[in-house]
Amino acid sequence: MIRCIAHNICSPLGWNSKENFRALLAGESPLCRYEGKWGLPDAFMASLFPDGAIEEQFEQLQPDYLESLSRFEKLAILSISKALECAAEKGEAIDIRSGEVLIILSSTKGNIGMLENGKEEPSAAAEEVALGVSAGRIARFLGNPNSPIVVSNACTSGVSAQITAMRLLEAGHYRYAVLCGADLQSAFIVSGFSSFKALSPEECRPFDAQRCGLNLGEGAATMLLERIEGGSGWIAEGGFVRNDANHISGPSRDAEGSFNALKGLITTGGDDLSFISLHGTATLYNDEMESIALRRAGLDSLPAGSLKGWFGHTMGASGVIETIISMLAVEDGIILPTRGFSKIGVTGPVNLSKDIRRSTKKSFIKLLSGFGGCNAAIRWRLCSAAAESGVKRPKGVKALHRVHITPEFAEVDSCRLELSSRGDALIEEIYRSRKMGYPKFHKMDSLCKLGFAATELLLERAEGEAPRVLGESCAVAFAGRTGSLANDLKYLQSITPENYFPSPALFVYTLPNIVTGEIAIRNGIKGESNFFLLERKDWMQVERIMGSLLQDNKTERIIGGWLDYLDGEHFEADIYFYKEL
Amino acid sequence: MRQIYIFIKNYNIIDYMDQLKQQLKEQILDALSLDEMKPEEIDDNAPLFGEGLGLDSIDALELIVLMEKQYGIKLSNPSEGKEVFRSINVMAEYIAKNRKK
Repeated sequence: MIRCIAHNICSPLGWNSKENFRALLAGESPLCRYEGKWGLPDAFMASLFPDGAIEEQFEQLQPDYLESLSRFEKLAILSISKALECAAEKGEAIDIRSGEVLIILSSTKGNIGMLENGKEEPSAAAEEVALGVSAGRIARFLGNPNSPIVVSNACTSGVSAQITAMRLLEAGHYRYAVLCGADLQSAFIVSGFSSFKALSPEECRPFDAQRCGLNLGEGAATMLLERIEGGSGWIAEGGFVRNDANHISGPSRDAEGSFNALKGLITTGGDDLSFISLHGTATLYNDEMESIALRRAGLDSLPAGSLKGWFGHTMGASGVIETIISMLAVEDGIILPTRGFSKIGVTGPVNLSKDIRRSTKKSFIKLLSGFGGCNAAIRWRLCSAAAESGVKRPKGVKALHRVHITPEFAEVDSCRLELSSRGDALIEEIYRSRKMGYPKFHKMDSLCKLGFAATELLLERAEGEAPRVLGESCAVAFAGRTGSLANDLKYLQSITPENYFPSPALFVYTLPNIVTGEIAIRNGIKGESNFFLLERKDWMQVERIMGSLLQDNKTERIIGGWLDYLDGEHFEADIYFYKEL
Repeated sequence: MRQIYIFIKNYNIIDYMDQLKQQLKEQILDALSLDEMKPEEIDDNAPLFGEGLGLDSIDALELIVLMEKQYGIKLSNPSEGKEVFRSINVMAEYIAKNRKK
């Protein structure tokens, strides 16, 4: 059984959870219009920390710290430290230096704001901005001895990370998890969403008939989780991640992934749910999709809301911030209104309100969606009496097939393919030799091409010729180090001040999990899709993560393993077709 | 003489539009990474979205970037794009009328 001991939110609204919550109740929002910020040509609406605020807070925490940590790393450390303080104040201190504690982060772009023009040398850039490397620095600062994990599953990261953390604790690998979701805004992210025409010039209006896009935000939030045999407090009741298998950026018209993520959480009925906290980004398509998901799940009369009207869309932090706010709302017996909403503009119906409502119910669902077709939902309950423990047996994975690709060779189950090229050309040769007839391949970035080609070889061996419809019992998830860095550099080159033409086709691939979306679309995979970043190829950690995918009790097959691309001379796909042991 | 003059004038317009469409096709194939197609394979009248090239929402956004980058034309939203990107012919006409580069 997983319990949340303590938490923290660090946002432009305040440096602890209660401060943030009180600001929400007072109707305050840090959303503000920025003109000429970061040299961007268009004005945008966002919720940002004041300049120097993070550094100032960090100074107070650690005045003598001389080594250089980035702004992003300082923000995460601040939130984690404050959550640990909070736990100590309650008499439930955790020693973060213990091997029983796992640090698990959730972020989409981490330090990306430190890159300047995309002309940086890839391996040097990786040292600065690879999320796994950042996580390593954070773990070492805090004195934690374990290999930290970063969940980078687009905007679902904050909930995906809670689910991964729950499972790793249930499996007995660790007793505690320090889960921190954090993201900062930058020209990189703002220009990208702008190229998607997804930004609203005004304060966003979730689910409203006049909605026209999202506002961006930044922040960090931490949850301290522990595995207990029985007890009271905030207990995690379950969570699911599901792929739409439809499109890498557009929400699914029939909300397939969102519905599948939700349906597993309402098998015991929805009567004791106080509310559902939706993704509610205020884009035309996302909000419409969520209304369809609710209708399909029979949850259209459940009180619902979106918090994006206060915080903006805080990317990798949103799942954690919004879960914590939901917990505080339940504790106070209230259902927060949806700031920015007044008249419903989705097919729905959705039970939204612009006013505070009351409820005595003790559980809620948090739902998110993200690029790559991923959707994640989690359910939490505030238990006053000692609750029963439903121990889930940890399951192991058995690898049935393997594909190993490097710049020098490609092997399927240890048989070397006859290929005449090397480097990037080798990946292209694999595609051509398979006669896949999949022109979308050429739109993909190099990480996707590598993962896609490797998976084609793997599935040919494991499941036969295409077309394949692998369904909801198949998951696709990889771990890597560099993530989408190679493509991030390319994207940056499309937004230099002299030649500012942000490319949506490049921006969509600046998230490592997109490769799982491409594979899901190609193979009809509607199970879990996810992407994890580690400091290095720690195979024991990779296998623990792969095993954790089975713990949703529905996944039977996994396409997983190690997937990393730095440049044409440095890449590796070491992937497996796994079944349950 | 007048007839010859009109013939030459019209021929130049046709030539200009042909060149523009050829250039446009090459730019589109490049911008949308349609590596397995050749410009000759794109029918001037065929719908670009739906069937034909099977373009999607991200392609539509990239075409908006292309219009600005290559021709200095700013389309503000995807629905405006829908009208303009109906076919190569429609696109070329729009560009010829509105280009700033």
